[in-house]
Amino acid sequence: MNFIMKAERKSLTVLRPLAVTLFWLGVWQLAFFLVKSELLLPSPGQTALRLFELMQTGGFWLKSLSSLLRIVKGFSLGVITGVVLGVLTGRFRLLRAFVSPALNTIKATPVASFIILALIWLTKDGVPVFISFLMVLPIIWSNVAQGIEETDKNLLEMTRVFNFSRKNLALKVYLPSVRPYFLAGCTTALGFAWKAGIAAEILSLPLKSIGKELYNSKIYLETTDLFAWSVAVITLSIILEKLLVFLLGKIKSK
Amino acid sequence: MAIKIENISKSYEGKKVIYNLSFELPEKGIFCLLGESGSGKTTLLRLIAGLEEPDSGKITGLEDKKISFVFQEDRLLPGSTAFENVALAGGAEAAKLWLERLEIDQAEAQKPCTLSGGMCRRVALARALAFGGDVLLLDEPFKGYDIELKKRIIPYIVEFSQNALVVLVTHNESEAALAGGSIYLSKDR
Repeated sequence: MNFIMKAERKSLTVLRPLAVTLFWLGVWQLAFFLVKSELLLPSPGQTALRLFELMQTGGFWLKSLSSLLRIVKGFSLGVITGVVLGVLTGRFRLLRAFVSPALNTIKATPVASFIILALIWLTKDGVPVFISFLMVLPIIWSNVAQGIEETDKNLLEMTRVFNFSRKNLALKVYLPSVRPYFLAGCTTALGFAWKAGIAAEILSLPLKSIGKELYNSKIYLETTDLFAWSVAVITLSIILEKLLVFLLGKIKSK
Repeated sequence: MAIKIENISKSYEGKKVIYNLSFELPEKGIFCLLGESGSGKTTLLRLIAGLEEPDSGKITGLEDKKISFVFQEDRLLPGSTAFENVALAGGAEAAKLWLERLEIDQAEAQKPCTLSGGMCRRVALARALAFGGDVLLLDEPFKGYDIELKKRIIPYIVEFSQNALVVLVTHNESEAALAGGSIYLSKDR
């Protein structure tokens, strides 16, 4: 009985996402039939075919990898800076009073404003890195600072009584407190970094980039290309997020 | 040098918890703090431990004294094992000794969330004893112990008190009987 229930549950976990995917592909196909124009809305089949064609070329992989590297670079820089600032502002309230307005301003400012500014300041390749960095920094910073602030005061008092070393205080008290906030921040920030990074590429047009391809598809009215590249962006984003969740899960279990 | 508590007062949000209290603590032995809930026993332990400052008055004789504490709550690190919790305060050797003496060594690899309330209490006591010191502050340390276990553990506290001062907060008369001296804190001020 138990075996049957387990098998049923397993098949449900496989079948449900498949059914959901098929449903939305059906909706897309139906919309294509209604619109009746490839220029406005290509079908899922046309998009898949174009994506397959693109994947046959070396340029597709080179451009995807270049975009991926830019965003990962910006994301990593944002995480490192966010952690350092989060730790410092979590520990020193005065510093927080100085840093908070700057980072909250970054959070509230439209990304397009920063992209335009970065276009003036930086090279084509530097813009997406900088924009991804700017998206990630305030999220990681606020999450880490919150984790530090919400560390159990009773435990901190206990460590004072028992003369914990700085190392043990950091590893045994602060780290477990900050970890869930940090992990949640990383997953949220990655999505932002990816979307904002590609948007920055569309405006800065680095030589080898997904952003430039999206821009070209707009200029030449290649809607199928736009959809194919968008599917590639979404797929890469999902892969990257899954990879991050896997890596963070490794940290979590340690 | 004896520990002198001189005219100390402490209030929280305008509510007097301790008012103009004076007494002397011996250098060694067991000293009991008695009194109903809310009479300021825990606050007094916190003042002795230096975790809080009195609003007025002073405590002298604590200079250069190492103070160990069993808090009212266990305050164990949730992500660390029982052994790590004790060893981080008192070192591996002392941790092994006290976990064994307090009959919790079989659970030394377990994390606090898998231990019963009484077991956590013993880990907290083991941590304080392993840390050692000149003054051991115990805030209701035997909560959740059964009578037989308590009988086996109390001699270790008595032994510890031969070289240090043990300040014990308790509501239990038999525990209070261990003390060489005691003070009753009243809620009426």
